[in-house]
Amino acid sequence: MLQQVLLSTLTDPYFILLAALGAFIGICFGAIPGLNTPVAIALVLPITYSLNLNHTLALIMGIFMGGISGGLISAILLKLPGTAAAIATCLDGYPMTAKGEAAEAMAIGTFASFFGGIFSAIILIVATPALSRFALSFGPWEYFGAIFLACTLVCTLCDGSFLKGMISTCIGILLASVGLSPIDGQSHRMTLGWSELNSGFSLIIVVIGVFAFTELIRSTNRLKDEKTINSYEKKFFYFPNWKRMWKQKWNLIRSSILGTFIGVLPGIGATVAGMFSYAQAKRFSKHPELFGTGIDDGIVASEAANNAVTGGALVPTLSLSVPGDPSTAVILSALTIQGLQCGPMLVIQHQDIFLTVIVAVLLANIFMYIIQACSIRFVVKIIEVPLYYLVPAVVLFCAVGAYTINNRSFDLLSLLLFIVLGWVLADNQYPTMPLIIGFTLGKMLELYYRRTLSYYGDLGHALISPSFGTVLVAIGVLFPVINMLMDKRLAKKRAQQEQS
Amino acid sequence: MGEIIFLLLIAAAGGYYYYESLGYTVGRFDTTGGGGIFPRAILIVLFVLLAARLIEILLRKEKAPFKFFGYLKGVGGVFFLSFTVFVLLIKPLGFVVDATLFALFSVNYLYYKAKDDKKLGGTKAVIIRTVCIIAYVLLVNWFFTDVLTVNLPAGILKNIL
Repeated sequence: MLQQVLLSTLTDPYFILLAALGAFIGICFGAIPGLNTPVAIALVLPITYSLNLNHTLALIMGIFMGGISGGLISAILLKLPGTAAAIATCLDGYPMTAKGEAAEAMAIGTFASFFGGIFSAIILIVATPALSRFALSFGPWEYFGAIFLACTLVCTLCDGSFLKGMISTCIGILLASVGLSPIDGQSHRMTLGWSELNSGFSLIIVVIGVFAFTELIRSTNRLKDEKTINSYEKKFFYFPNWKRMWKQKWNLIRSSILGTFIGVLPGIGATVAGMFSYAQAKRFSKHPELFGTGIDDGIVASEAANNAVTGGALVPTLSLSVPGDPSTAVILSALTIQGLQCGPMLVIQHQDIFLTVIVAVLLANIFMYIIQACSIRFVVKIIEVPLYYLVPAVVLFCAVGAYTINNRSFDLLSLLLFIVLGWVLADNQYPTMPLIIGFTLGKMLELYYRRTLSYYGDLGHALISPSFGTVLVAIGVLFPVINMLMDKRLAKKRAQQEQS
Repeated sequence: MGEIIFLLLIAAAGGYYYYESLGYTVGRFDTTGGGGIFPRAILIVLFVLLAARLIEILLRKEKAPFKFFGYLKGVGGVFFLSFTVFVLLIKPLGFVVDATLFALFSVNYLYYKAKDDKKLGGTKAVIIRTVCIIAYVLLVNWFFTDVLTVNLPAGILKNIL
């Protein structure tokens, strides 16, 4: 069967061409904040009417893979995550750019993305039935535990006060709760009488406002600083330095495994995977204090994990017909248009289609890597554009991108609010990353909290239930406490060493 | 003192939310406590954290000044204000006119501030910049309206565009 599929797909020039085209479109949409993968897939939907199923799969998988990876370009070069999934990439990617290592950072990030994508595609072949069962075994309490753990882990990875990180997380969760309440849809929460707030704030507005625009506008205070690219060789194809990559082998594998497993859980997504993996890389690192200063480990952890999510996310989409995020939801609709019924029988009865998906994913990852590695020499030139041209141009484009989400100027007004909030927080050493993670996960946290209450009656019963969810919640509570105690012990030890 | 005010502002907003959440309707068959249960739980955690932070600040000897209005200072402040004006005028003026004015002002202002001689680079340079800015705005407008089929505000050019 596999041979037949390989023969029919790899000898079809249109299949290969569409996978490459899809990867290119995805990278472009992923790199520009405000535009994203679901928009790109939705745009090509009318074209897929005239394509057969194989060609549709090649095009869509190309966009999906390219879209997630493309976010690293603006994240590394401008500290402006093209997609929310690339937020963690900014933490070490941009400092590397500031050190003059933009090309190396891009090469490392691109390779990590490629590795994560290929790894998850292989897992997709080997473990789809097992992963589907794993995803099905998660009830609301387990989901709540996983999301709760992700929130507390992110606070521990932030530099500075843990308390400030937790306050930021709570603000993010509360901002996500604005609008109509989930499940019942009866309460208009903190809408202040504005109907525009019924649907709440959009994630991309919060990310652009709190994180990206704040940094961009702040950069205008450093107009005379010139950024250069130190280790910039004009090559056709950028491989990362293999010695440096070899040191990252365990980080690559661990992050890819984490990304694939997080991807399997519907709704958790690439943003969490990137952050979670970054936190883990920092935890396992021998030099955690260097994270955030521009080291390879941070970029590898974030990019390998967020691209590994793509393969994982296809597991529930194809085998259970449960899309985990907007991208997979649009993919599901594109496949439905083609007359393909996703579900448990797809893997069993239509193994050829399932294998075609995997070939398309592998091919899309290869093209994503080739396109990005070949374009590094041109793309890194962005940072040499003077800030007086770059900042207004990017701000204008992103603002229009933000406007297009709901087609209303209200979103631009809320963008101003988030710029001010992000600026005040950043100026006073309140980490903004936990706010974004709190906002990203807030809606799901509430949904699973209320489902847990509905299932168990009250939280007490859930807490004493012998389930995986209880373990995750316990780790989520204990981990920051242990982390704080360890940090204090370390600080004491250092102080003693300095005194002696 | 500044941070204490900041924490009190958050607490006040949280207090308002908590009070409002007590009035949310709970469906007859809803066993979860309605739409207010989750925000209330998070708000309680937030209040505890704010109190802990407050104690931490009061116990600390060195007090760093809290910056409330950093976004209004320097070149960044002017750029932020011009962006605010752009946002406020996008509906009445329309995207093309508003974006052109915003880009013209911000590019020239930042250029002026970036150069040591504090000059705009001569008439020719200003004209070339203006033409490029208008071309860029029209390109963005074309991409979003024609390619992505988004209705950007037409404003005063309603009958032309």
